[in-house]
Amino acid sequence: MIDDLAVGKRPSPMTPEQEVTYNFCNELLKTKQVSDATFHATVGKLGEQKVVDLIALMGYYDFVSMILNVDRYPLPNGEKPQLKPLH
Amino acid sequence: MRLSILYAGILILAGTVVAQTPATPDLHLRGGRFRPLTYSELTPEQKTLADNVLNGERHTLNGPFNVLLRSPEMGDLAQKLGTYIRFHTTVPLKLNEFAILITARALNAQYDWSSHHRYALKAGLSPDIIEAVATGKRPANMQPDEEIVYNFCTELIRTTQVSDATFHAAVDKFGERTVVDLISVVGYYHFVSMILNVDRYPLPEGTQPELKPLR
Repeated sequence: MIDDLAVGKRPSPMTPEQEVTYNFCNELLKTKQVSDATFHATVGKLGEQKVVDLIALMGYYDFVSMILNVDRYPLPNGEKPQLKPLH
Repeated sequence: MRLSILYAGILILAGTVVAQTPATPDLHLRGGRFRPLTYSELTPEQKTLADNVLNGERHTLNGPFNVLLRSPEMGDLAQKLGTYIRFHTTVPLKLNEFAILITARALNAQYDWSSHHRYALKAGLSPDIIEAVATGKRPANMQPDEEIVYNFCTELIRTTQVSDATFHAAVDKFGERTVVDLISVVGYYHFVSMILNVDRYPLPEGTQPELKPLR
């Protein structure tokens, strides 16, 4: 599943919780919006508080990633970058 | 006589205290997908968040707070960060509002755009620059500090990176602290815009969305 994410593919198979989380985050990142079906599936599965925490997590890591990208923060000694450009 | 003045003073004082913290204030919360909450149904933790915002520098729960109340501990941390970014940042006000508008445009965040459109005008950002950002064009005739902020935020949002030329221009002009505050304002409003978009937060009654889809 992690390998699929690394190359930008939809992971398969996923548990129901993983699937609502994937759909929610992916739609929000790609389209800036979340469809009714995905919103209601996610709130139905996780509840409102966890949905809000999920948006907070994305917002926070968006911020942290921007900081590290602006800095060009170095990987630990000897480590190679794992993500290849997607297009 | 002296006693009655004292008595009147106590009454006025009592009235002031009541006016500041009524038992069940009307929060004027609005929401799209998330139902607007009322003060009387809040848990103590949620009341703390609402009180902190109302007694803080914003004085209003408009925007993301009806949603943030769903996770009050996180919401209180977020409102503290937001207070720094709105009122205590080292980014000059006009440039801070410019960065917020660039972020709101990228996220198609209609409510953030409308409210900060007004704040940006008040802070002295030119209407032509705002119009160019709204339509996804590079503004012409920017001041040197505006151009650096535009390049920095636009590159960061579009490419998730910042070129050497843009990074060094920003650090030379503003210093490291202000550059970090600039990343923070983009990050925070990215978060706020995501919340409002997920909620489909309604615009105030009678207002039309100002941002049209790009392309």
